[in-house]
Amino acid sequence: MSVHPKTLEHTESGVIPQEAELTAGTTIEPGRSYGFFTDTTLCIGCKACEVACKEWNELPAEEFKLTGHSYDNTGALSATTWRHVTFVEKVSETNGARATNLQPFQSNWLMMSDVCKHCSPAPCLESCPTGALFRTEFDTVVVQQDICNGCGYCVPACPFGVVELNVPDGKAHKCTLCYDRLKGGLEPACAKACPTDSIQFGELSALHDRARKRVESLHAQGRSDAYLYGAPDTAGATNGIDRLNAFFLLTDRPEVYNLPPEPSLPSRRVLPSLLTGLATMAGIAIAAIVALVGE
Amino acid sequence: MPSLGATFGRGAATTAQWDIANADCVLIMGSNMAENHPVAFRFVMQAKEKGATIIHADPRFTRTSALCDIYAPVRAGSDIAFLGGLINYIVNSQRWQNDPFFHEYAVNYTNIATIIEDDFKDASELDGLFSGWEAEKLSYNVDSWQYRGMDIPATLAEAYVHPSTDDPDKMIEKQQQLTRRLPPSDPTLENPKCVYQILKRHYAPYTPEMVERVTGCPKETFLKVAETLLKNAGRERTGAWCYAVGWTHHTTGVQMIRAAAIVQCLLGNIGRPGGGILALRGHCSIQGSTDVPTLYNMLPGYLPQPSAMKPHKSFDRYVEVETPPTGWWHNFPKYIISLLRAWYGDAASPHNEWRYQWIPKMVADHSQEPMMLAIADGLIRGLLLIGQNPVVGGHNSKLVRKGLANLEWMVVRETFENETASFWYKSPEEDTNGAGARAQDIKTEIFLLPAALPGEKEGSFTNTQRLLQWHDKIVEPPGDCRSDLWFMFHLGKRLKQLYADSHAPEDEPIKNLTWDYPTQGAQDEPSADAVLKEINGYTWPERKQIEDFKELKDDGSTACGVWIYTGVYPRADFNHARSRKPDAPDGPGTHLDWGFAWPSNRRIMYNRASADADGKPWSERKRYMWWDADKQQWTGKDNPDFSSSKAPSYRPDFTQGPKKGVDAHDGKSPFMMSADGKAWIFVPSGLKDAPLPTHYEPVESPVRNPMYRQQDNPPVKKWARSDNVYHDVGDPQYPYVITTYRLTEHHSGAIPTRFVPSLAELQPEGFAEIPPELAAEKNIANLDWIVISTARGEIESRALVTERLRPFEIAGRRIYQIGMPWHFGWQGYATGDVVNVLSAIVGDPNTTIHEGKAFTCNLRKGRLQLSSQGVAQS
Amino acid sequence: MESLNSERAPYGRQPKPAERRGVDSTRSGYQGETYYGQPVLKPSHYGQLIASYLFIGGIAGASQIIATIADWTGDRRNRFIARAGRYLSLGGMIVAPLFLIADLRTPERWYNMLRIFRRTSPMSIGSWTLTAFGGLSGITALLQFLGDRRRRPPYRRAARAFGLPATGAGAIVATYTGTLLGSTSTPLWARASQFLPALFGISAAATSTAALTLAAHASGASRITARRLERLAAMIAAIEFLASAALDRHWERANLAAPLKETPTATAYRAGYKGLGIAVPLLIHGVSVATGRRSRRASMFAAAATLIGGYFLRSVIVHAGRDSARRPEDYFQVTAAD
Repeated sequence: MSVHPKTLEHTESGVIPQEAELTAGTTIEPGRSYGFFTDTTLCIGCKACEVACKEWNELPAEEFKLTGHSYDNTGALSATTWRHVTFVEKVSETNGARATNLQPFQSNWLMMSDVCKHCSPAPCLESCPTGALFRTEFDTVVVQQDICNGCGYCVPACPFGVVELNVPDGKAHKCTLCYDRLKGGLEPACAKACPTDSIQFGELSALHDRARKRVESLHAQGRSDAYLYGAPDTAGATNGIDRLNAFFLLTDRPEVYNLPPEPSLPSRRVLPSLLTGLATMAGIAIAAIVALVGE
Repeated sequence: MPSLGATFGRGAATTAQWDIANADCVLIMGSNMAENHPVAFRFVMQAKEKGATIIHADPRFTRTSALCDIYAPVRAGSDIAFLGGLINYIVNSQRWQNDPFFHEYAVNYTNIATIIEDDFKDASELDGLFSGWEAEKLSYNVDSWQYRGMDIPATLAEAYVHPSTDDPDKMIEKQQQLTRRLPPSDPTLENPKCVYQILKRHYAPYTPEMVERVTGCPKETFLKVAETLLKNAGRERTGAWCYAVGWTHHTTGVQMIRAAAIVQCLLGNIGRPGGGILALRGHCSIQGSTDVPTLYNMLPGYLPQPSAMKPHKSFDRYVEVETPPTGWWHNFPKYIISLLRAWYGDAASPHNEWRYQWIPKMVADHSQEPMMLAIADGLIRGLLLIGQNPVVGGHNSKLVRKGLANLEWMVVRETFENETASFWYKSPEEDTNGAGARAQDIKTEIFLLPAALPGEKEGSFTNTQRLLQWHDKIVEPPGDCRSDLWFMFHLGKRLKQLYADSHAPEDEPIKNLTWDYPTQGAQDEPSADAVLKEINGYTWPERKQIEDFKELKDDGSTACGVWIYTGVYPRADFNHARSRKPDAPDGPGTHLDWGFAWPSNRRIMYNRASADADGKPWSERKRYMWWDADKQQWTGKDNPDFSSSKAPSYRPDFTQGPKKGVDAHDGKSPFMMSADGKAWIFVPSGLKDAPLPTHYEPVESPVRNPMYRQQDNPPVKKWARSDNVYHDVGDPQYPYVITTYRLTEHHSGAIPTRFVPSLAELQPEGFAEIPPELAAEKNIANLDWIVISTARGEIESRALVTERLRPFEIAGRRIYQIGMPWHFGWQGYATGDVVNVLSAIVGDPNTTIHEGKAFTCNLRKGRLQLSSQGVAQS
Repeated sequence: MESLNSERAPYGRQPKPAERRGVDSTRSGYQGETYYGQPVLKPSHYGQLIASYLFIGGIAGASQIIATIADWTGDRRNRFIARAGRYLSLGGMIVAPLFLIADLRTPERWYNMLRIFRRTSPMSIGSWTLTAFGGLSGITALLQFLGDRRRRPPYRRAARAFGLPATGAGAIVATYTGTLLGSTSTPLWARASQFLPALFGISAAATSTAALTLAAHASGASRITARRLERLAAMIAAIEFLASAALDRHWERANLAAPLKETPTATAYRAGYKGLGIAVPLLIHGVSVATGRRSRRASMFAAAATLIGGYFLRSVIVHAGRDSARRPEDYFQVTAAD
């Protein structure tokens, strides 16, 4: 009986040095770019990702309140929610009839697991004055909890509304792409838990390849509405944001999923803005000269 | 489960989840697979990636529907009309008539050609009834259902029905016919009383128009489903079906599954890769709970429970009546004697009937629902509840609470204080039938004993695909928490001590139970490993592990706890359930070294049928098992579910004398457990309600049965009483259909999920899903409070207005259906009213399973008001 | 990227009408779907502490500029302005950082602001500039003090020299906060990333002049000094009127003005800033210029109104920004595909 070649090495020994190779098809090595490709056409809205994330990172539950927003009682990403599944029901067709002939893969009830995009360049990182936010050796963005002083500037900087200050704790928090797990050769908890492999962890170039092929395959099956969000030169990676390391395959407008179609990199505004300010003060100085000279 | 048993011989999923990836078409019905079996659903997605078509037929549009290609809306409780429509379509289709594959598969492997007794009449002839209905007894005499000139023993112990049991000798004689000749059959399928003709006649009324009329599913959608199923069947293509409690929780549940089994037989999908029926059980080890049963009417391994209502007075009579002359069950004596040896050790001997008289005999239906009624009526004094929360999960919750208040004592073993343990001081005022039973009036002495969770104890799970997987203890349970095994073992020990000096005959069974499991650790935890060894079976008295149930004997030299599990612990140093070796990506894909599947580590059951009558695979693409003529062996990707050396050409030669056991089965009989070796499209015995599934309305329905005069399932179990009132058919006071179900985020009675913050926040509150059309009529906005009411009680809930529920047009009327998840109670972080306050105690005639999936209700905008006396007024 | 421009692909479906969302989008340019009206962005947590910092920092920065110019004119009657300006600057720079540190959610790590320098972060630029400016303010004030005490030219000359870099730093301090707000994703701020530093700088000058005016009147400085300050105040009031009107029009045309029209922000903006902060001083100065009469009381009243108005401006911008971040339709507008 032929068994999986990796099995024989690991059955009794316990810790597997590069478990991600078995579970995600990739080793994890410093110096390479890693991220998520989230293919929403495979998402079944089970929220295993939300639970796995909270359990691994020991994040507290937030609020026990029925929102009435389909099955989304989580609401949004926050300092204590780093994975959030959105739900949008679209069961009626244009003539008001309810759907029976459905498109292949997810349709008529959109479900998408939202997460920190780990942008490149990252607006939060660019705004951080203490250097708490930094880019790791895996090309992900992490907030160092022992440096952050809670200035809260990263919060409005983020074009996706991800990072948040936690008031009792006093620091900014967001998804770390399971930095601790990556260092141990484990893929992130959410990707591991996802039963249909909607969330795929891997090296970015491999993910981009796979994603493009997936879009082509979906188009060939009649799903002309499939597109990438956050891959280089696609929606979401615009105006100075070159790519989102956590990128998506979507089938409806980004706004429907609560994503901005063409966000921008705020730091591009810094220089023109500063110069305008200085110019203004130069003008004020002239006014002051005029006012203070003569009677 | 008895449906699969009655049709195929074993009441369990015929295949494994990962095999679904090999299907060309997957039909999910009676199941919300993506929500309740998300990990298994991964394989449906793999099938989809390979080009399969996925179909979901369901009353609601769910997370499963969103991932499918076709969604067929089907009114709750009308599934048999839909499935009957498929049967009708298939047998009358060009494809089925002309492609020789279907004929070859059906005639060789099923009883489609078998001739039934002349006086049999089907439901199309008797307006919804079958011949043999005895109205005073509310049961069927199944003599007219038998094969012409023979009596056929049932395949399954659970709730079986035998013909002519009032004259056992006559029955035994008629059964002996099977050892002398093959059942009468007409391979040309023309005899008017052959199963094929009966099938055609019986399902002729199930036209696509009738399907639309009864189920509300648009005709075009139904036809699309039928065409897709047919297109994906044959030599080169197979289709798989997945069902769960969306089918079993009906008074016609067993027949719904039967209908699916018939379709899969007609399409030639059983026993083949990417085919079969994947029964998705409701709990990760419920399969184990029926194999090693916590059910009242079976002994371990699906052996019949001795019954005072059957000719079971003596051991010899019991064995005589229960041992079929043909089929694998002919080995029954070996299993019952090995079981008794395991239980009673040396105290059992052939001279004392192997202590058979120590096993209590059933005197009635002792299942959960009648048990709750008996408790409510004061017939039962004490109750042990182990990991069960009947105040939330049991039907007619108020009656359950009334009952619990009547007990003298109750023990609840749980990981959290659930509703059942706290009903006496936390039950909402309005749930006490207005009588205002308060804590000081309840005399029940309640013990809440803390239990351990998986991870805190060792043991095995038996998942739905019959797979045993061992799990270790990785952390000590906190404080006083103990495993259920610890509790049972030490309870038994203390009872033994209590009775040690007794000479009373009723104490002998407990005194003599073998109970010598070793214990370890500071808590004296009994070794689950030792229990599994006993379950596997060993020689007696040497206790050498046995490798295969073929080695079990009827002379007391073997002891075996569960004969179908033999092989899980074949040697003292090898626990097969621990094995975790998956196949390589290019391997056979059966993963025979991952855990142990019963029987004998066979992954796809009835896999003889994956080869044709001559033993060759039906096609290269669907190659699975085949006959190796050189080695004179069956071989392939799996272990053969067949006598491994029986050639396809074998024909029993009755001229040489009677043939017993599987010797009476020819070389093309993949269904070893049944008496004739064939799959039973027509079930002559074993089920109480019909040989062929027939559309009956749920017990509570807004419409009269559009198809027959017979409204609901004739032998359905009803208990109409003042504290369990049923609604009349079409009662305008309760015009809406209500269906209850589960969500991904919680589990059943929701202990522990309502107490786990990261789960509770995902679905933090109970709700009722209602269609926008109904909401508009009643001026209900999303998240408004509504009151839902039935004759059993009223609850309040928030409304979730959603298009995923749609109105149905049934027999010319617009019918609204609403849905509620039933997880919620007053404990934990996620709370809501108990939905089962609304449901009634009613049961499927075979399983006594309730009808939580379809009953009627009313609803209005507003909240429940409490009067100043603390009694509900609304 | 032409596919982004096409209406159908890659998004596929047409946007659904706004009624589905239950949001009042009458003032918005975005009429498509949102996610149940939920915010896309997170608002900054900034509140009164930051508004106060903006106010004080602005005064400090602008005061230094005015002080330096006053000093460099060499005119004896501007000496009060130079002195008061420098002391005001130092006073502001002692108080302002306290507000910033108090606003930190982990204030004991305030020094991490100087752990690195990041040129993409206006807050980093600001932290370093603030530190430098604080030092320079201290030096110029000290030199001013020593110069006054000891009446030695070297001190005065040194003060004048240090005034130059101090002015540069002050110019940044007075305006970088506008850049800071503008370099976020908050729609109201992001779309005004060049207006805000300008308006903040102008308001800084206005409030600083007002503070100097009050100081001048309170300490009995010469009439000429007062008149010069008044002239400056009048000019700045006019400039501020124009700048603020331009910003209003900009926001209106960008369809982002809704947060400024909701109470209580609308009241604070119109009555507090536009009314007290701009209209009142402008009126008083206007009358003064027209009639040629100068009233000490009127001048002080105008100064007070300017100060109050300046504080309202900072508060309104901060709070309206938070509201703006919470409006998905505003953000979808500014991030729409072109």
